[in-house]
Amino acid sequence: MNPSRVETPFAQRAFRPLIGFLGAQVLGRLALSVALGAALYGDLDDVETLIMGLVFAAGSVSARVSFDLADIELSALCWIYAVHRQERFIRRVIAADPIGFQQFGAGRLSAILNRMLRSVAFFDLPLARLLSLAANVLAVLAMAVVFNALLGLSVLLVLAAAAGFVYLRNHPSRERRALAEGERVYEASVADLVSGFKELRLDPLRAAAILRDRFIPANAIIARAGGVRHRQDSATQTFRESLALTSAGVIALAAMAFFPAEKEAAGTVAVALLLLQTIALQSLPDGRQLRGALDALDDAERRLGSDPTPPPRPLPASVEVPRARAPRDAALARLIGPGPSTQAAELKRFAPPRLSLGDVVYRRPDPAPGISGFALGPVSCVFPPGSLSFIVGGNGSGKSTLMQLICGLARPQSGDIHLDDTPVDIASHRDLFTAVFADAHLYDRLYGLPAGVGPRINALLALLEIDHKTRVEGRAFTTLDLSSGQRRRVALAVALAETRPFLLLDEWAADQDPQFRKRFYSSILPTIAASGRTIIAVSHDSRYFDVADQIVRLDFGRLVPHATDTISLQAAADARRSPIPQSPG
Amino acid sequence: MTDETLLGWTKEPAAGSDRNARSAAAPSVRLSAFVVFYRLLADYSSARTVAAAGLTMLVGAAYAGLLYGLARLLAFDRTPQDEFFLGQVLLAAIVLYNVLARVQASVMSRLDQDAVAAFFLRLAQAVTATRFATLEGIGPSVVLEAFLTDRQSVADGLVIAVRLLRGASTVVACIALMALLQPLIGLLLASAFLLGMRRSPRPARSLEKTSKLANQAEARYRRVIDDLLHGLEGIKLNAGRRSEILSSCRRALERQGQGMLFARVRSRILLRPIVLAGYAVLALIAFVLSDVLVRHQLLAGVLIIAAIVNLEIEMARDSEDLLRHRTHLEGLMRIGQALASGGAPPAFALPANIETICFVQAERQYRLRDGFRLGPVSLTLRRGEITFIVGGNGSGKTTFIRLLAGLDDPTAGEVLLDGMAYSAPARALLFTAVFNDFHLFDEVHGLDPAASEQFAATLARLSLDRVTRLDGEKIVATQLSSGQRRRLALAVALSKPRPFVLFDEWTADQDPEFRAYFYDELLPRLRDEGRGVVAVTHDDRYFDRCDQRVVFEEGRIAALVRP
Repeated sequence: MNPSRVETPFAQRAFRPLIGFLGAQVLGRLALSVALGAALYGDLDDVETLIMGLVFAAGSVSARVSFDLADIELSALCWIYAVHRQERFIRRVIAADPIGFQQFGAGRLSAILNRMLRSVAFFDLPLARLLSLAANVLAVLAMAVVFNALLGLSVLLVLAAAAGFVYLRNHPSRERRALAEGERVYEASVADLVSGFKELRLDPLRAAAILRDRFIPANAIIARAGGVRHRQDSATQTFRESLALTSAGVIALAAMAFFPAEKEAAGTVAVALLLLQTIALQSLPDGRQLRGALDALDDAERRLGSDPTPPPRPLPASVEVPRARAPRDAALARLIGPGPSTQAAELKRFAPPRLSLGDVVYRRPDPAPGISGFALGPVSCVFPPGSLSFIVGGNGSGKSTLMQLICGLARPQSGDIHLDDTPVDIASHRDLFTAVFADAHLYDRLYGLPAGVGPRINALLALLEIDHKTRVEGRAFTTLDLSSGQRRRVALAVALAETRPFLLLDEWAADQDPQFRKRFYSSILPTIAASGRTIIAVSHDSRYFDVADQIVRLDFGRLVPHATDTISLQAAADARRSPIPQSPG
Repeated sequence: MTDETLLGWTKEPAAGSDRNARSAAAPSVRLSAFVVFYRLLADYSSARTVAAAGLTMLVGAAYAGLLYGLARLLAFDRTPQDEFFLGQVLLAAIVLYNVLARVQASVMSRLDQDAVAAFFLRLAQAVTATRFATLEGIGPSVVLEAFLTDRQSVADGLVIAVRLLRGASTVVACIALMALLQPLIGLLLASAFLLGMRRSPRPARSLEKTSKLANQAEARYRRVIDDLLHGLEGIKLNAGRRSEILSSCRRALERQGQGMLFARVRSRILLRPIVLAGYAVLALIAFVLSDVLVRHQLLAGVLIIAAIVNLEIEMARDSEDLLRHRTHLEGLMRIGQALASGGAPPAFALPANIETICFVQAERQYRLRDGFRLGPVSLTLRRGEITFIVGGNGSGKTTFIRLLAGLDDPTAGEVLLDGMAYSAPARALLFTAVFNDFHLFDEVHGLDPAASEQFAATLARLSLDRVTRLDGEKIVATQLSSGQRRRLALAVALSKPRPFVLFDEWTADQDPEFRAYFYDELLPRLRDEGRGVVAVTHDDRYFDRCDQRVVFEEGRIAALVRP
C-alpha cells in the first residue's frame, strides 16, 4: 500500500505496533539462528547445549508469536482502511452531481467499490509476507555483521541485486494492452451470448458468428495470459530457491578461499539464510492490482463531482390555498391525507407552496466531440398547490430531466425556481418531494419512514391490489421479487406513506394492465390530488390527458406553448376559483 | 420470470464466503480442493496432465536433492580440493535445476492455457445450445458471473495447485532423504506428516457456521449497496433515509469485518501446531542428537526440517486460497452440467414458405411459480395477419410468447407449422422479435448492401439518425434513452427477413407519435409484405388495428375477437 495514500491518523495507528512486532521478529530470528549455528559448528558441553537450546526455543516462540500478531494486526488494519475508503466513497456518491453519477452508472460504481474492498481486504497477506521478509533480511544482516563485516557486505549486495532484479521483472509486460482489449471483447461477447439468448435463439447464425469471430479469439488471449502466469510463478519460485542455494554456496566457497579460519561463521550465516528463507522474493507484494483498484476509486471520486446537499431551509410563508376537490376513492383518501371534510387550515398545513420555474435552462456536457449534449429549456411553468400536471413529449424530449430540475436533483445553469414568490435553491427543499422514477427502485427496508408506518403501507398495498404479492413485516418487505408493474405499485405505496407535499411520477402506468391503468388515472390520481398534494407526472397515455389541470408539453428540450391538447393554466386556474371553505378566524 | 428450481438448481452461496474459506483449511478438504483442479486439466488431456505433473514433482524433488548437496558442502569435513569440486558440482546442478524448471513451466503453462480455453469454449457452446428455461433457472447473472469472476478464480487456483504440487513433492523428497540418512527421524517425520493430513474435522465445522454468518452479512451488505446506488435519487430526496441507510451499511460491514478477523485468528491457531512441531524436531536434531549424528547429517537434518516448515507455512496459506477458488470452480462445473443437461441444439434449416402456426391444445405447466399453467390453448396464426395478444399482468401472455417463438416446448399438446411438428429451435427460425426485455447488440450481423440502406432509412424514420450511425457492421450509439433503445432494437429486428414478426409491449415507453407510427404505419406495412405480425399490447385505443385479438385471462384464452 502506498503510504502516501494513507491518511495520517490511520498511518500512525498502523505503524507503531507493527514496528514493535518487527523488532520482536528480528531478535527472535537472530537468537534462534545463532543458537543453531553454535550447536552445529561449536563444540558445546552439556550446559552450553542446554542454554543454547533454551535460547533457540525462546527465539522461535518470539519470532512466531510476533509474526502471528502482526499478521492479525495487518488484517484488521486493511479492513479498517477498506471500510474507511468505502464510507468516504459512499458519501461522495450521495453528494455527487447527477451528470457525474450518470457518467458511471450504478453498476460500474458498485464494481469499482467491490474491487477496492476486495483488493484492500486481501492485501493483508502480501503485507504480512513483506514484514516477515524485512525481519529476515534484518536478522541475517545483523548476524553477518556480527560474524564478519565483509561477508555481511557481500550478503547485502546479493540481496540488493536480487531485489532489483525481481522488481524489474514485476513491471507490466507489453502484452498487457492486447490482454485488455481481449478482455473487453470477451466480456462483450459473453454478454451477447447470455443476455441476448432469446434473440440469438431466433438467429443461430448470428450466435455462431459471435462465437467464432469474437468469443474464440478473445478466449484464447485470456487463456494465454493464464499460461503466462504459470511461467512467471514457476520462474519466481525457481529463482528464489536458486538464489538462496547459490548465495549460501558462494558464501561457503568464499569463506573457504579467503577466510579459511572463519568457515564456521560463514556456515552459520549460510544456514540462517536457508533456514529463514531470507530471500523469499516471491512474497514481494505485487501492488499493481491494489494500485489499479485505488486509482479507479480515486478517479471515480474525482469525476463524480460534487453537488452537496444544502441544509434544509424553512419554507417561505405560503399564500395560496389548494383547490378543494372531492376525492373519488374514499378509502384511499382516508389513508393518504385529509378527507373531504377537512378544514382549510389543515389542508393548508399539508399542502405545498406554489412552485414556478422561470426560463430554466439546463445543458448536459457533450458526450463526445461532435455530438452536442442534450439541452433543456428555457422552460417556464407554474405548478399551483394541489394541482395535477402531466409532462408529455417524445422520448428524449427532456421530461425526465425536467423532473430532476423540479425536485432539485439537478441544478439549472440559468433561470430561477420560485416557491410561492420567493426565489429558492430548490435543492434545499428536496424534502418537499417524493418520487417514483422510471426505474422504480425499491428499498427492501422502510428506510427513513417513521416507525409504525407498516400497517398503513399494507393498507395502501391492498388498495393498489398488490398485497397478495408482498407485505411489510416489521421494517422490511416480505419479498421484492416482482414484475416492473408490480414494483411501481409498491413504490407508489411507499411514496404516499412518506406524506410529502409534492409527488413526482415518471411513466408510472406504462406497464399496468388497461383496467388498473384506468383506475389509476380516473380515480387514484385525482384522489391523491384531493389530499392537497401537487402531482407532477410524466405520462404517455394521451387518452387520459383530460384528468390533468395542465399539460406541459416538451419537444426536443423546449416547451411547446400552445399544443392542441393543452388545457391552459389560466383556464384551469379560472375553474378553480370556486369558493373554498374558510375556517373561522 | 424465473423458475429457479425447475432444475433443482439452487444458487451457490455468495462469493462472500471467500474471505472466510481461507481459514477452513482442514487437510482432507485441502486435498480434495487440490484434486478438483487437476481433474480440470485431466479432463482435457490426461496424458499431458500426467507428464506436466510428473515434471512438476521432479522439480520439487530436485530441490530437496540440492539442499542435501549444500548440507554436504557446509559440513566442511573434506579436503579443500574435494570441497571446491563439490561446490562447482553444486553450482552446475543449480543451473540444470533452472533448465528443468523452465521446461516444466512451459509444459504446464501450455496445458493450462489449452485446458482453460477448451473449458470455457465448451461452456459458451453449452450456453448457445441450452434451453431458455435452463438458462433462466440458473439465472443469467450467475452465468455471466461464471464467465467473468469465476474464470479469474480458476486461473488463480490452477497456479496455486501447481505450486502446491511442487511444494508437496519437495516435502516428500525431503522426508525420503531424511529416512535414508537417519531412518528413525525419517519415520518420525513421515508419521507426523501423515498425522497432520488427518487432523480432526471439528474446527472446520464450526468455521462453516461462522462463514455462514459472514455470508449473511455479505448478502445484507450487497443489498444495502444496491439500494444506495440504484436508489440514489430517493435517498437524496429523503434525509432520514440517507442516514438510516448509511448506518445500515456500516453495520453490515462491521459484522463482515468481525467474521473475517475471527477467521484469521482461528487460522493462525490452526497453523501453529505444524510450525511448533517443526521447530521441536529441529531442536531435537540440533541440541539432543548432536552427539549421535555427524555434522553433515546434522546440517542436512536442519536444512531439510527448515525447508519442510517453511513450505508447510506457505502451503497452508496456498491451500486456504485454493479452497476459496475451488468453490468457484465447482460452481462453474455445476453450471456447465446444468446447461448441458438442458440441451436443445439450435436448428439452422427450416422448410421455406411456412404459412400458418397452429396451437393445438397446447399447455405449459410450471412446477414452481405457484404452479402457473398456460392453456390448453388452441389458436392459428397466419402470414399476412396481425394478431394482438392482450391481458393483465400474469395472464399468460409472456408464456404464450415463449411457446410461440420456440423458446420453450409445450408440456402437452402441440404447436404445428403448416400441420407438421417441428422442434422448438426450428420454430424460432420463423421469427424476428423485439422482446420486452430485449438485448441490444452493438453490431448488426449479415446485412447486405441493400438491407444496409434500408436499415439507415429505418433509423431515420425512427428519429435515430441523429444519435446513432452505422460504422461497417458496428452500431455507434451514444446516450440513448430507453425509448430510443427500443426503437433501435426495432430497426435491428426489421432488418431481418423473417416470415413472422413478434413485438412484446413495444410501445410501453414510446410517445404518442411513435405509437401512432407503430400501429398505423408499421404493422399494416408488415402485413402487406406478407409477414405475420404478433404484438403484445396494452394500448386499448388501438385495439381495432388487428385481424384478430386474443385475450388471455388466468392462463387461458378468454376471448378471440376479430374486429
